[in-house]
Amino acid sequence: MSIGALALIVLLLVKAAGKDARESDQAHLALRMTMTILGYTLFVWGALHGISLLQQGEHLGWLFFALLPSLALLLLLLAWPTAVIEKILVPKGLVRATYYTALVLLWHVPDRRGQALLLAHRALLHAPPLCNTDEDEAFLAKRLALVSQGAAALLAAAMQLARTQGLAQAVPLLRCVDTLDPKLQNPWAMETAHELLVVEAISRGDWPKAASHKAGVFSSPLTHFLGDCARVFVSKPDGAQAANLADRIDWRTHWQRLSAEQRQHLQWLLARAQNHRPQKTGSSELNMSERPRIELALAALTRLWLAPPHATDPSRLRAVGETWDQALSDKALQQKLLTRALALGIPGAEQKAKDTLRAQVVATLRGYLAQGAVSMEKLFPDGKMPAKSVLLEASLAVRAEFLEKFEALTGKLEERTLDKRALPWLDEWREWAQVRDAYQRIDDFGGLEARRLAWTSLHRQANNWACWLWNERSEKVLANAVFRFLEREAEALGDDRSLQLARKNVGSGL
Amino acid sequence: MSQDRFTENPFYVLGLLPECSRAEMEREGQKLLGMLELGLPAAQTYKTPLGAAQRDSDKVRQAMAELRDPHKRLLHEVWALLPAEPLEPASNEPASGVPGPWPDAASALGFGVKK
Repeated sequence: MSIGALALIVLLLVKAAGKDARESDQAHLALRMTMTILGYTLFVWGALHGISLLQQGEHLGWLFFALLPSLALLLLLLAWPTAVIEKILVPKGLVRATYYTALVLLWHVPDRRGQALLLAHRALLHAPPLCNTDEDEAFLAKRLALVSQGAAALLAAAMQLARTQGLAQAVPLLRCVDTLDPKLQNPWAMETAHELLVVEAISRGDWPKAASHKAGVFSSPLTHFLGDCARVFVSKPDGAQAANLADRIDWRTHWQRLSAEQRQHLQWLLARAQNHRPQKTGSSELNMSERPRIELALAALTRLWLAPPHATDPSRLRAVGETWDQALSDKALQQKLLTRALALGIPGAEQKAKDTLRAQVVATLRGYLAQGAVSMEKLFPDGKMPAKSVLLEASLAVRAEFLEKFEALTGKLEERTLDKRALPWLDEWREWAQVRDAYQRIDDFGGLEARRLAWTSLHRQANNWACWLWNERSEKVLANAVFRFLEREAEALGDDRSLQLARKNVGSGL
Repeated sequence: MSQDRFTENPFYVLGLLPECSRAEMEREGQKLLGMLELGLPAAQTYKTPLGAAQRDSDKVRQAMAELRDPHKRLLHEVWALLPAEPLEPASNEPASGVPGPWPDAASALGFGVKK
C-alpha cells in the first residue's frame, strides 16, 4: 500500500516537473535533480528497509530489495538519459539500439526523434572500420525523412553528409542552425553543431576562423578549449596582454572538463598551446636581392604554397604582388623576352608574351586568393588600392567570381519560386545552405562592400522564396529561419525598409 | 590548381633548363618515354621548386608538344627560371609556430568515421 502511494507521488512529481521542463532549461535541470535525489533516496531507503525487514524475518524484505532499487535505477536513467546512451551505446556503434533507447529515454525532450537520430548518427561514426554499415545507413535515412525540422534533425542531416562526403560539405548546413527559431534550438544539438564547425576549421588549419568562432550560450568544453588554443596561436606579440595569453588561460580547468577520449587526442595541442609564444612577423622581403627581379617574383610566388594558406600574412601577399609589379615593368625582363623571342624565331612576340605573362600571374594569384584565406580588407587595410597592380586585379576577379556564383544560386531560387517547383524539406534546406555559404564567402573575402553588392539580390529572391514556403508549402520552420537571417542582415547593413518587412515576417512565428 | 604553373611546367617535367635546344628537348623526351615504358623508377618522379611530382608518359608527351610551339615555350621559359630544387623558406621569414591543418581532427574527436 505504502509502496503504491510512494510510486504514485513519484509519478505525479515527475509529470508536474516534466510539464515545466518543456518550458525552460532551468525547470529541466530541476526535474533532473529531483529525479536523481528521489532515485538515490529510494535506493538507500529500499535497501535499508529491506535489510531491516529481513532481519525481523519478514519476507517482504525481498520486495524492497528488488522493486525499489529497480525503480531508483529507472529514475536515474530518466534523469540522465544522454549520459547512459553516450557512455554505453554510442561508443559501441550500436545504431538501432541507440535510436530506440533514445526515443524511450528522451520522452521529455520536445524534438526527441531528431535527437535520437542525431545520437544514432554518432553511433554510426563509432562503427568498427571494416563493418558493413549499409543497413544502418538506410535505417537512418528512412528515419530522417520522417523527422520534424529542428536543430537536431538538421544536424543529423549534416552528419550524414559529413560521413559520406566529408565534414567540409556539411558546414553550410551546420551554419544554418543559428537562425532557427529559439524553440527549435535544442541546446545539446546546438553545442554539437558549434563543435563540428570549430573542428572543421581546425582540420583545414584555419586557426583564425576557429579563434573567431562565436558559440555564445551554446559553447561546450570542447569549443572553449579549441577556441582558446586557436586564440593563442593567432595572437600577435604587439600588446603585452596578447604576449601572455597562453599564461593567462586556465588550462587545468579546460582540461578537466574535456572527456577522456578528447583528452587522449588533444594532449599534443595542449602542449603546443601552453608553450606557444607569438613571434614578430619579420620583413617579408626575400633574401635574394642579388638575383634578377623576375626570379625574386617567381620565388615569392612559389613560397606561398609552402605554407598553409590560413597562415599566410596579408603583408606577405602584398609583398608578392609588389614584387611582381616591379618584375613585370623591369627592363631586364623586356630584354630577356626580346632575346629569347629572337632565338626562338618569333621576333616581335615579346610584348604579347609579357601581356600573357601578366595575365598568367593574375590567374595564379586569383587561384590562391580564391581559397578565401585572406580578405580584401586585410590585403588593402586602409582602403587604398594600387592603380594597376596584379594583386588588385586578382582580388577583384575573385570577388566578381564569388558574386557571380552567388547570383547564379539566388537566380535558381527565384526560378524555382516562379515555377512553383517544390523540393523535399531537406533539399530545400540544402539549397538555402548553399546560398548562405556563397554569401558568407563574399563577406569573408570582400567585406562589407561586397556584402552590400550581394544583399539586393539576396533580399528580394530569398524573401520571395521564403514567403512561398510559408504561404503555400507550410514549410514554416525554414521560412522562419530565412526571415530571421534577412532580419539580421538588414540590421547589420542598415537597410531599414527590409528590416521592417523581415521583422513583420519573423513576427508571424511558426 | 594555380601551383600547376610550377609543378606542371614542361621544363621541369622533362628535367631540362630553359635554354636547351629543340633537339635536346626531343632527345630527352624520347629517353624519358623509353624509361617510363620500361618502368624505371628514376623516370617516375621529377623535381620542381614545390617538391617532387609524379611523371607519366602523358605528361611527357604534353610537355614536348608545349615546347614545340615557340610562343608557348617563351612563356614556359619564364616560369621555369627557378632551379628545379625544392625552395627553402626565406631566411628572414619567422616560423610562425602555428600548427598546420589537422585532417584527422574530426575522426579523432568523434565526429568522423573511425580510421
